Amino acid sequence: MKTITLSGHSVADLSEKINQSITADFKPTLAISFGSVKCDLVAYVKIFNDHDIQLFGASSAGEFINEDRKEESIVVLLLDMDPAAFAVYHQEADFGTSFSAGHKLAKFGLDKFKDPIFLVTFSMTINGEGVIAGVHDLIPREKIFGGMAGDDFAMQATYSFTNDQISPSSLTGLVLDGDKIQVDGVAFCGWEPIGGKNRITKSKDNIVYEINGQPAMDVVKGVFGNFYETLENHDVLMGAAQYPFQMIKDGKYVLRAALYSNEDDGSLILAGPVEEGQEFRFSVAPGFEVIDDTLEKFKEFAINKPKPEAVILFSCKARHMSLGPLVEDELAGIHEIWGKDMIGFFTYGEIGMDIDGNSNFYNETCSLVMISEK
Amino acid sequence: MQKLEKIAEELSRKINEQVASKEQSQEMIRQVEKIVKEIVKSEFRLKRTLRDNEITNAVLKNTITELERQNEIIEKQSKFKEELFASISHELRTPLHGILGMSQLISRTDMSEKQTNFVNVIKGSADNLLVIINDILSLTKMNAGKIELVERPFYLPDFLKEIEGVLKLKAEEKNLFLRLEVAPDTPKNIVADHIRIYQILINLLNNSIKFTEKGWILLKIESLAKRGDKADLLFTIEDTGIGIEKEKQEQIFEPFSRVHDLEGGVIEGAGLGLNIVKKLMSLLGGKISVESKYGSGTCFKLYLTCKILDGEVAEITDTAIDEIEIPSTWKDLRFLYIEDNPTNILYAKHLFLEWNIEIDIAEDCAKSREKLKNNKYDCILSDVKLPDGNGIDLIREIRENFNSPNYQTPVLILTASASEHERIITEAINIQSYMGKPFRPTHLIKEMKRAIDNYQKDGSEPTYKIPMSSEPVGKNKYFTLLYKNFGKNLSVVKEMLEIFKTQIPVTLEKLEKHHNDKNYEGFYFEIHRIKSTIKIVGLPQLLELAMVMERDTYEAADVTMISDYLDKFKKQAAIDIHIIEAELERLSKNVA
Repeated sequence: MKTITLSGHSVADLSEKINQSITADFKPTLAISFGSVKCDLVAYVKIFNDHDIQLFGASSAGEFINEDRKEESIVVLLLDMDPAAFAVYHQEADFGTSFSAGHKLAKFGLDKFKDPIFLVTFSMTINGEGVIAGVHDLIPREKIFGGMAGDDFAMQATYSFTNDQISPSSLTGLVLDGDKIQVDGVAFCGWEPIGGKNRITKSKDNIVYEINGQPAMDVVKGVFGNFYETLENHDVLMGAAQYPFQMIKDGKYVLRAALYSNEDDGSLILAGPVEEGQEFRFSVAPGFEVIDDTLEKFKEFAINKPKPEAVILFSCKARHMSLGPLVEDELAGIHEIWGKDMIGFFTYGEIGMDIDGNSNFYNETCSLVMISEK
Repeated sequence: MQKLEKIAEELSRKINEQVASKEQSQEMIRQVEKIVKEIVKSEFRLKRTLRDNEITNAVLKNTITELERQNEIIEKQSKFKEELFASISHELRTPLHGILGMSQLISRTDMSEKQTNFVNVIKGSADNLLVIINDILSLTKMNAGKIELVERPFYLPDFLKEIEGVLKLKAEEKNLFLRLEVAPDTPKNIVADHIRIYQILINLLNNSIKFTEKGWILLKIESLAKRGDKADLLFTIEDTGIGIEKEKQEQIFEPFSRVHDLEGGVIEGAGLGLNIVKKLMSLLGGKISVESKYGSGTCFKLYLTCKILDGEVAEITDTAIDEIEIPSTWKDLRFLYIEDNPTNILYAKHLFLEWNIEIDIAEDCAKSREKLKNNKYDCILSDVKLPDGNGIDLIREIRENFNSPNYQTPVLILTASASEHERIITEAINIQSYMGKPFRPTHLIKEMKRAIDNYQKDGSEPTYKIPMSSEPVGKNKYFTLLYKNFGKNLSVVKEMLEIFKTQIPVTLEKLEKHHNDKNYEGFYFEIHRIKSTIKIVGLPQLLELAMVMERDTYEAADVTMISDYLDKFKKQAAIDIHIIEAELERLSKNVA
């Protein structure tokens, strides 16, 4: 399988690069692409339709290609994968129908392949945890990877897209045939808990009303002060995503970042669902040594795994905010491990697998996917 | 041609130079960009490190606040639990009082043997229930860390007589020989929490009596070593009872641990006694060990280091009363019993009738006030919880009213409440005795005797009464140490009283300020300083309060009651100043 990575700041620029890349030796069948909402996505999608290349993509909050980080651009990974080894799926959904959407995706996958493996992107109106639960309801412990689409941290609307759809309320899946395509992946976080245990005393889905019996916003403001302030005349929380709740469930930790606040009732809207009565600790970004730690973990993970032909990375926007320009060191380090074509984007939430092979919906992680033909 | 070639060569060289120069420039630009990137990264590192520190501090601060909040909740819950247990104890003890009292009265009537046996079973069961209730209460308090140690001087031989008085009859009923002795060369005047030591010894000796069918029980106190003003004491409690199996000897100090008799039956009881003993020993800073041979007997050894005193201490020691006969003079005295529970009233009426003593009854505070206003009593017995108020507040009222005919009447508080605070308050307002309900007739007589004797010592005047001009100098309980030290030079006594009289308002003002400022360190030092002066001058009630406040404010240990104590201290100080003024007036005449 041949692959090419391309990037550009305009549709015209990319169109030209894609035209040049298509040769007698390389006729891509699949494009995986992530791009800024500031680009003309409609015109962009048309390029792939014109070249009869199947498209799986999402809007982003910053992009990366190989060792370079980009902003307000589009990155694309072109693959000449056997068309019989993959299928693209699109489903309109919202928070409440996420499970059902996941379930339908799993059914679509099973109809196509005996051993389907899923890459997904989805709008921020979708509950990533629900999607996983829906897929696992039909195919327990199935491999799922992906990321919640971004919008350059405008927190307005995020899109997943295919050749036919560009939607702010959808789940898009790239289903790969596990018999023909080797897919491995793992997600690492590194965020550290701080302070004592707290309890969510009132919540619904991903909205937290009360912590320790007090309005949620009062509690987090009391702890983080201006890092949890909202933008002027805006309900988006600034900086809060870097100090997520480390939820304690069944003895395991899952991070949940606060994205919005509602000043009327003092509630917080998190990037994923939580349960009333659940305990959590606040967490802080690790020191910069987390970059080396993550690279070491990826290297360890790669041992005895087939060498990938392409790498896709879903890295949390909060991770970018927290590591700042040093996130480039992490990206460069990951690319250097395999030296293969790599693209990815900064997400508002990641789906990845832990070291034990369980798929989860995370925040603050770096979720890696390695793809190769068998 | 050659010229052209030269020109071309020259041009080529220049072009190469320019290309090289451009490449160099580009390389330089790349290097500069790289450096700028590293500077940006370094700046970000620094900013984030600072921000992380800020966040870490904020989270830790919040965690501390949250822990304090949770601690407050736990304290409230603990207080609620304590109050609940105290309340339950009151509710249980009051009817138990009725059962015990009535069974005592029934047993004095003519009954068949069968009826006597039934009554004895009732009495025995009620006794056991009382022990269990008391044990549960003690354990609850200890677990809540609410046991407060109060060290006081006491005289060991008298202390043993008290214990003997309580247990002698029980031992005799089982034909057991009970011996309590203090080894020669053992310091006799001890400073310790004698109430807790009493509780430990009574518990262990009661066990010995319970588990011994024949033979003897010994309590021996000896000194292992003396170090300055301290002595290492060994209390040995030995019996010839059923003993404890070796494998059970470590378990007996665990709560709810039960032992079996020689036939394998479970001995009655909640199994809390030895757990309480061990915890109390730990509180006192001592150790306990057990040696036993199953079937032959048990020996408990208590190791305790206590302060020792020399000389005159015996006179401030609790006086043991061996005799419990009712003094014949009591038939001429007037008693008032303030109590709302009809069973308790009936019980008391019968007892006093049997003793041939007249007693007035008042069922609430209002009736009590009326009776206290119009009658002079020789002894008041009062319950604490009354339908329209609190017995202790009622006594405080008469203690603060110099015009009341009962201003100085001895008071004995009888209550089912086990609150430690009430005990302290009781002591602080000059109440002569305090005993828990249900009481036994012998104990009641003993306590009344203690109160009245104390009142009538050295004649008909109360020993704690405000000194009148006719009283011999220094014969009252006030100013004891002052007269002991300076009695030969009354002008010094007078001068010291005058200094103290001017000093106390200043101290009160400082205490008030420290209290308002929540400056408990300042409060502690102020009360600590005045305490020694109060001791030298000899104001017993004020001293008690000063000691309590000193203890509670030491490192702000427990300042929840300070406001109340300070109020009492101010009131007591006002009374004491009145007493000092009377003494100064009398001294003026004598000195002149």
